[in-house]
Amino acid sequence: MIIQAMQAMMTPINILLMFGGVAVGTIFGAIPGLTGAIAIAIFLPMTYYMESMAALALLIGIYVGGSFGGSIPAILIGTPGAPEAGITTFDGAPLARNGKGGKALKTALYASCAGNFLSSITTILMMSALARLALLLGPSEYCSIVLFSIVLIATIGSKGNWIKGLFAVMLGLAFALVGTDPMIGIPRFTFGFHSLNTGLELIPVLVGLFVGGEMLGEVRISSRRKSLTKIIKNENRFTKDEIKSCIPVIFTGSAIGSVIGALPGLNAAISATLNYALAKKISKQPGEFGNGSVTGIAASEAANNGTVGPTLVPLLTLGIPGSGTAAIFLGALTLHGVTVGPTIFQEHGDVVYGIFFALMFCTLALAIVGTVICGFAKYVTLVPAEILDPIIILVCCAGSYSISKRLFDVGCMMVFMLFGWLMKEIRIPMLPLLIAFLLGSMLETNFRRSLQINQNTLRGFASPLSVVFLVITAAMLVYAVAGSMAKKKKSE
Amino acid sequence: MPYKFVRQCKLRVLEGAAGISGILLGLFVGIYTHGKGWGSRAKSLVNNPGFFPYIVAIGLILLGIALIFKSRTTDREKVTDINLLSFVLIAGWMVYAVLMNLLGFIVSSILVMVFTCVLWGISSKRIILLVSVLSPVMIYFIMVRILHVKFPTLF
Repeated sequence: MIIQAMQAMMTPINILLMFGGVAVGTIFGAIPGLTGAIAIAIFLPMTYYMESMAALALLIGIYVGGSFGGSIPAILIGTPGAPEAGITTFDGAPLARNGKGGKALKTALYASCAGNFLSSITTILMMSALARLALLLGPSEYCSIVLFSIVLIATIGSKGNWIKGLFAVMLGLAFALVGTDPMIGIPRFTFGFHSLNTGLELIPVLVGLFVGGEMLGEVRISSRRKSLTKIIKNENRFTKDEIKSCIPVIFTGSAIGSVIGALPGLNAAISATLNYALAKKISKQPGEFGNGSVTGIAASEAANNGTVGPTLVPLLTLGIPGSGTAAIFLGALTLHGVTVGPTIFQEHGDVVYGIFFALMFCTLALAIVGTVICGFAKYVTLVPAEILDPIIILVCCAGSYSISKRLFDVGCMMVFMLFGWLMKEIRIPMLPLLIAFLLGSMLETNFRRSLQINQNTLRGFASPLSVVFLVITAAMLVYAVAGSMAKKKKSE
Repeated sequence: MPYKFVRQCKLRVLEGAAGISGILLGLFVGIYTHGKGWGSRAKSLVNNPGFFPYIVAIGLILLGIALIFKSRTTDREKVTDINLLSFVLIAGWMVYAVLMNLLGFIVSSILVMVFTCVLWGISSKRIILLVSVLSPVMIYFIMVRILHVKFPTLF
């Protein structure tokens, strides 16, 4: 069956579709305001008349390309194309500002390919074990993991200033309250606006915060400065130490990505955050993180792309789409007569293996296509900011509008641009706000589900996994507070 | 380099203002939640839509206070630049969001791009024209013709 699946997937047409899909996905992911998921949604109807393997080849290609594409603007203009690329801005943007954008892009590309490839192999070998793991986790475990992730990003994303990091988290959770109550469905904080019934859209918040933070303060100032960005000759070369430091974090990233990706509801941003924190911890030069560390970029990208294949595990084996992209894939599989669930191996085993072969091949295709795209993309930094920035704002507005065809989202983006700019000036980190906004609903839903299951008590949080994550979360907070107090005493 | 439209502001003042804003937002969330009666009607935390808003309100107030205290320890000499033109830019793009429905995507985008390019300090009329006309047209072509996203049109 494995050989049959490989033969069915590796036809010349399918190979071309995979290359094309990777290119489309990368370009979509690289444009702030558009994502790989949007590309999949747009191309899905076009696959209706295609043969199922061909359709999956194209969509998988777009998926893989889109997962990497978000790191391109994260590095070149400090604006992530997707939330999971937010961590990449920590080190990617400083490197690009110093004329080493090509090096940063290469690091992101190779780490993405390696993380994706390794996690795809892990997934093929451990699919059933990962599916069983997903079933072991209940709402209390999910709530604990999400809380841990939010606090982790508040401490590492704030670069030592935990008060500002937690403040940003609270703001993100406040924005996440807008919309409909997740358990009983009543509108909350909508103030009578029907547009707010579905909550604030992610893309306007994401691009607004980062674009505003990066560009708003530069109005007229950038045109008066001499161009500071340049491409340093031979900046693409990696040193032996850099390669050596990236290898372990790529392996840990693919491992973390495999586990996180296989758990429905947890997303790549959590995986990237965890691996980045781990990489910083084990690094011999932790001070470089946040200032242009190649290892930091590799850690973030390997982990975030390491979730690509495993995200499909709960979908294929349990019929549970664990992410928006997986939900679109569910639509694609249904369209082509594939029934997902525990019997998928018996009924459509060739499709399952075909999907994972496609994932691995698309990773190789990404290495080629991505090199070409990054080769051109790095020159974006040479375009004068006074020409590039207005165009980026217009593209982001168009992208925000395209989600739900509402001018409300464009207005929302403008408000968040102002917000992002003010946050940057006050040195309040944006990433904790974004992650908390993304995960806030999940945190509340799982907390209340846990109460529901345990007769309105916190008994569910006494499970071993919950306890472990809650204790680590508390320890992180204590460490952050104690660390800043010790630092303050030392400076006095 | 001093710019007449840039004002320097002490970082600790802005941090304090952020703290006060956090407290006010927390109070607003708490009072609004209480006013809606979400917290009082439900018999359990599960069906209580007011539970998390109260948690967030308390968190915002406490962290707002912490931020105000933290601002008092910030170095007095630390300043940050506030570019007043940023507010002008945002106001212009808000008007654009309204005009898009009236004038269509292309015309309103051309107008806002001209405004933005001038505000950003581009002096060459040729570059302003090129950027302001080409970018909306290309975006319109890609979005509408290739991706089949409907944008507002003039006619």
